[in-house]
Amino acid sequence: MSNGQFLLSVIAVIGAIVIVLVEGRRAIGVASAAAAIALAPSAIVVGGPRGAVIPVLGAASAGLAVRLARLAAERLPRVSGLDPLVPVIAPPDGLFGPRSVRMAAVACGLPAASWISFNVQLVGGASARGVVFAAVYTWIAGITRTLLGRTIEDLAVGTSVIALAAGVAWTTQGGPATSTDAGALAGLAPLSGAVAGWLTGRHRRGVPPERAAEGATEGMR
Amino acid sequence: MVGVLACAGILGKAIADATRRGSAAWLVPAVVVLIALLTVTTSPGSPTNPAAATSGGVNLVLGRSGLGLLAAAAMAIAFTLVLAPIRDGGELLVACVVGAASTAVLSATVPLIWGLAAAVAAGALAVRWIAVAPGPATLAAGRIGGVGAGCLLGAAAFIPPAGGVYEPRAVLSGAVLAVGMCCLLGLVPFGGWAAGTAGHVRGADFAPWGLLFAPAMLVSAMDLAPQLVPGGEIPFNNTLLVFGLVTMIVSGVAAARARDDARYARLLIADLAFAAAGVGTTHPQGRTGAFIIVLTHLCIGPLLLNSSRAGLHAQRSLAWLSVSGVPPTPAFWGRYLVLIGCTATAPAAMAAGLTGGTVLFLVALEGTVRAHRHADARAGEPTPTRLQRGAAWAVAGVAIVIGLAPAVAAHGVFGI
Repeated sequence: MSNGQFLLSVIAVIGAIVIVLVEGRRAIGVASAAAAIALAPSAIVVGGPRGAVIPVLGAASAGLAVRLARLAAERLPRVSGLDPLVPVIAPPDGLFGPRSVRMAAVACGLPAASWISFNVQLVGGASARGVVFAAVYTWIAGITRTLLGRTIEDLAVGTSVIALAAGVAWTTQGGPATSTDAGALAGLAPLSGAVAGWLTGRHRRGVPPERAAEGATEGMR
Repeated sequence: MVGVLACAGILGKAIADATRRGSAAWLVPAVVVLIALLTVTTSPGSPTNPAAATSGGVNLVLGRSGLGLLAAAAMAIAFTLVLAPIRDGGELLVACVVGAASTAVLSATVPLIWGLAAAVAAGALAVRWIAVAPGPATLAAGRIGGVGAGCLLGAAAFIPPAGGVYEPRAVLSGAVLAVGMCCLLGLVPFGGWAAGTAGHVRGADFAPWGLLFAPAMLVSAMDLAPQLVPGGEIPFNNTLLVFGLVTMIVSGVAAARARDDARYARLLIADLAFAAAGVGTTHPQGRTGAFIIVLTHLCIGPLLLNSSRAGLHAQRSLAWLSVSGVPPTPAFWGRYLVLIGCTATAPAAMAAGLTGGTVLFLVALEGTVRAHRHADARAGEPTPTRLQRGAAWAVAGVAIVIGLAPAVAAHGVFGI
């Protein structure tokens, strides 16, 4: 494996670590940005600078969609709803927390992604191993995030990362002619972000200001 | 049609919110049904299913069987909402979003768009189920549904073009596609979420998966499998066959042990798994049987997915009887044809199919007897209106008629 391919793989591994570790209200935007940074160099290797448009635009629109949907939901006078940031079920007490478990799972995915990049040929031989690795490992990070998700936010993060990774893999095997399909798929990232943002805004709308202030005070303690 | 369904959902939800009871909201899918029926009768549709189409990009080409399935499923969802004792309007929005996604699933000419539509449907279902019944089962539905859709999206890039020798790539794509299908169809070993969710959400919330999305995935799998090169087609079909049969037996036993209001949903999961096994046999009889099984449940699902109420016992007894597998009920013809496909594939598959069929017969028999004795009624449910009683008689009667002429019904709906 050449130095360039090795660098692509290292960037993908760092991106995957960020994807599985990030939590909170900005998780979708940060994880999508990490996925775009992990995938963009690979997309440039295959399709030139235009190849990076899909992951970068997908990630940017995901972050924007979260914000806009939350603002829109906060303005509408309706009932309070599901909070996507609250775990659906109470996590059991354990030695390792959810981030540790996700980290261990994505580490287990490393040999799988490596095997696929060495044995499964998407495009032009050995020169594309790093490209395949980046797409597959980012996809594995998204799958890990979804499979071990505890909140709606986790599921949305996983969905947006999977969409970006699959889009880059699709353009890698099909070339620029398939960018329309990949663009449509990248639309899943802002869609999942919009759903999570909408739910967050709707939930916050239902909290009376005095209770929100109490919660903030307790959080500071 | 995708846009029409999505708009119908938003409109129906708005009507439900405006009326605060959702009593008129079911009119929206009824209008959509009329549009769908009009489309079926006025348009011949594509002569072949999308897999045979050569167009690329994001073109959507709806085949005859897909069109028929959508029309029948739309009617089933509308009847489910009519027969639901309580509605809040949210189930309507989800049903229409899943309907729009299922339309794209059935008409996608590119595997990536197929996976994208499946991801949208799985996401909509997960959010709705978690919202109405937060718990381990619905969270698992979100997790496994998301992983299943992710597998379809990931595998799409690895499906090799026909004519080349890409052995690891073909096997990898076939295996990952099979895992994705198992996740979304609720097949063992990834299918525990389906049975768990069935016990926690109401019939109107479960129907978009059981009566629309899962059948759409099955029909689209019939078109997808021939596109795969042999290295991918064999693991894909074998996985559907083996895990479909195992799921049928496991879900059948679970249905026998389930309480009254969850029994039918588990039987539906078992029958859908048997239909998946029929698809996995690759034999024409097996696939025709899968279509008839799906049609049977589209008829009786609206009645049996909703909880039992006083005044609907006779209709429910008839519906349970039609799914028992006693000749000439529609379930008998469907299971018999799938069994023929299993027999042609492997003796072990036939034995498993017979075992599962026996379990399902016993489950349906128990359901028939309990409905006849009024032993399955839930206290506190509102008394059905005259419209609901008439709708219940209609769905039970149609199921019996299908059993008398299954080939004509399957040809009329699916064009097979």
